[in-house]
Amino acid sequence: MTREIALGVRFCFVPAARFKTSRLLLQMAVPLRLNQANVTAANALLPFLLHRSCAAYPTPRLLESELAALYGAKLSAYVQKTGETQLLSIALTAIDDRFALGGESVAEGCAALLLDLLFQPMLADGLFTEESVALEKRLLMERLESEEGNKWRYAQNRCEALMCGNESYGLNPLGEAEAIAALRPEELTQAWRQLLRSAPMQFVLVGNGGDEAVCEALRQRFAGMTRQPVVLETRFVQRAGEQKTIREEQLIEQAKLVLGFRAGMKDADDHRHARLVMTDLFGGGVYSKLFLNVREKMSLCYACRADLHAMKGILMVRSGVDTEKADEARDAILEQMRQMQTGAFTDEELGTAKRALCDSIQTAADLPESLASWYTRGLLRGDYSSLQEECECIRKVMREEVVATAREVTLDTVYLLAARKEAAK
Amino acid sequence: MSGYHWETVSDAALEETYYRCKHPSGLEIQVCPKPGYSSAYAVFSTKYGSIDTNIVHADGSVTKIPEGTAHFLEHKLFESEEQDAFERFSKTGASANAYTSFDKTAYEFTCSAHFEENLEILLDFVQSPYFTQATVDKEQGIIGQEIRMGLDSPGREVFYGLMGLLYPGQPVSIEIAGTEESIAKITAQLLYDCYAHYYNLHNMVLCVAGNVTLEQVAAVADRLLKPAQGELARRKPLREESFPSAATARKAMEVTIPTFTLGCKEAMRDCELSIEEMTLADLVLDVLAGEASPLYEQLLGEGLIGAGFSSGLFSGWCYSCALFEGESKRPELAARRIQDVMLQAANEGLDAEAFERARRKAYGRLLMACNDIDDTANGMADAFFSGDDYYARARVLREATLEAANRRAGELFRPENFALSIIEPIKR
Repeated sequence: MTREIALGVRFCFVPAARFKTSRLLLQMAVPLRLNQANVTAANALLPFLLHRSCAAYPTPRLLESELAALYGAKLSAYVQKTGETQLLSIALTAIDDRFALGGESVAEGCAALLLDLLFQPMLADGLFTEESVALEKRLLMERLESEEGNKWRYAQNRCEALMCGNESYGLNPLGEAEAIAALRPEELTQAWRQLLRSAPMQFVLVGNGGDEAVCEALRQRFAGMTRQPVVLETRFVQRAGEQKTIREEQLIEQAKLVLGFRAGMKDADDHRHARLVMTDLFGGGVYSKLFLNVREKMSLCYACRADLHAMKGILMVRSGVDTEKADEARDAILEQMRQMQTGAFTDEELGTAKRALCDSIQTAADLPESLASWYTRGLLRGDYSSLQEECECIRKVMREEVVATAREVTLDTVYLLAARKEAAK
Repeated sequence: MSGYHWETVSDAALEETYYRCKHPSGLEIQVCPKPGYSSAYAVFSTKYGSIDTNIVHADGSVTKIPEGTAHFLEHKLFESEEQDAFERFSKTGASANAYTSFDKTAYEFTCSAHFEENLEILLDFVQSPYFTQATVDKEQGIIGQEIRMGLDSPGREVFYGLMGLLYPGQPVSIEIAGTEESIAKITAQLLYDCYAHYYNLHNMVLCVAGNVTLEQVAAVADRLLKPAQGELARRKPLREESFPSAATARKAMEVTIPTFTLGCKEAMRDCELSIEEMTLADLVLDVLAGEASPLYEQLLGEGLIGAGFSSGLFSGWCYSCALFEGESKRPELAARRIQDVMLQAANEGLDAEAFERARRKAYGRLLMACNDIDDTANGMADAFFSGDDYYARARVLREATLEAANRRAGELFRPENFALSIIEPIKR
């Protein structure tokens, strides 16, 4: 189901006649590196810049008008961090041809449009225009500012930055404000050409056919292009060193407590399934130790959950607490981790976590967006396991493995965004 | 499954069908089987939301209930004397949840196995209230946290700031979860009273979509549903204040960039808008302020809005207003620009080509939503509560004319009905 289009460029077709749409997702991976703030900023800006206009539709409004005419085809760009990789995505969802009110073909036009955005951007004298660059810089800087208003996001970003200060994982994938402000059309144009040359790329099509045409279009665009894909690497720190505790204050109502743990992984596949189950049992759903004890029994917080970032080997616990109860909440969370490490859970609880994980993984098959994103591991790890295969692996996880992986978890950083006193009403 | 008569509801152009029936217990049941899907979604909803701050009795008398009660009841319904509902769902692997909105409360699950068992749990726990003063007291702490968490959200605060201007003193201006003061008044007995009034099956609907058959749903419904007394709960018309209480509301928070919501309330003919009025209003707003509009281009070019700017109609029982939300370094100027364009369109009408594009876009987006079993089932429930079928919006869109949209634009905007809410950074 995957085909090599060019060196480091794959096409992945996921047939899904049950949907009324086709979704084409383009993902480009670039290494996130310390001391290269300008490169990170340029790459962060590119998907947004590329998705706002192109040579054929040179202003955002003209492009948006075309998308509206294509029955509201949904174009989106996003930038994420997975491990120490900056993942740049542009996606286009369109209705299946059979639903067009006038019987016209929509899907073909959409695939061609996405390729136009990538290969035929709006340039003047070979460069992105001052105007389009200025707009995108402002929007990206405002996006960063906006993240600061979301206290969950803000606290997690701060914890990652403090915990991984010497690792590129500590960087914000959207770049730093200063570096964004300094970007020029010249270096953005160069970064775009570099992206086409060196970023491992993947096109995922989820829909009711049309794959041959898309594949052929991709081959034509990449024909004759010299590609030198970069190697993506992530540094795994298996054990925490000296524990860091950081407290910051803002005029907010509810404090945010974030605990950053090293999960003990030596690479992204190291007992990944066992660790997913362990994390879920610890702090995933409403049956988890954190939910049942820290929230329900002790009423210490409204939200408290754990997430495994397997591509980096860290485990984060996020919780909304009263500032005065933050220490108590931290101790309660750590106590629940000790319970995991001593195997203080029943086989029934273990079964619950496995069932819930599998069930939620399988529901990804019923949304084109989540189904397309599922194959991100294909791009990053060459792993094209299906949702069913993933569930098989999760079902096979044994109690001993869960306890063993819990024992490898070490606390690295405790970050508290506290509510300053004068905020009290 | 004797006694079932499934009525077919179809839309040929969308290639969509669902089935509905009135169960002998009094419950409306609607099912949309989706071939090829691996999961199923079910939602059991009652027409009881945060705006229902009164119980209107059969004799016309009214009992006042504290703000936030519907949401509180939603939290407590998961508990029972033995095992709480989350525990029961965890045995099957389903992911269960619930939410309360302004006008309904919904209990839902998604699963890719054991559908019948899950539906059984859903129907059982929603029909089995169990409240004690001890558990009510404890929940006040948990929900208090939830309310305080909301106070740190600029998006939420800017919205309620505006509602305070447009609908002062009305339930829609109060946070869905209530306030710490209002929920302190809730007792176990009050929850039982609200339950008896609002959770009778005649006031509810069960909607299911995905990998499921009519027979599966019918079999579980027959086993679990108990014949119910009662009727569809009545809502009291609210006294309508004509104008906003003030033009602007401001609040300082820990944000770096200001957030604003501009709103324009309309004078309503009835307590609720028709599906046509809602659909046309959304079209008008997309034509005038959508990403393909000249206004959007101008605001973006002048640096007055960010990428998250959006507009839409917000309407329900005795409230209807156009909303424009975004982040801006100069919110007042952005608001003035938007207001000018809306008022001009109210007089002069819309561009014909732009209208046609917006109509197609809305139709395409509606079709896209058909992929999503959550959206489908919730859309079916909403349509039922407003007396329509789920495809009414598609029919309106296929037949919408520029003239009708122009008329609607004229109804939506009046200069004296605008108000602006702003969240700004704390001054240091």
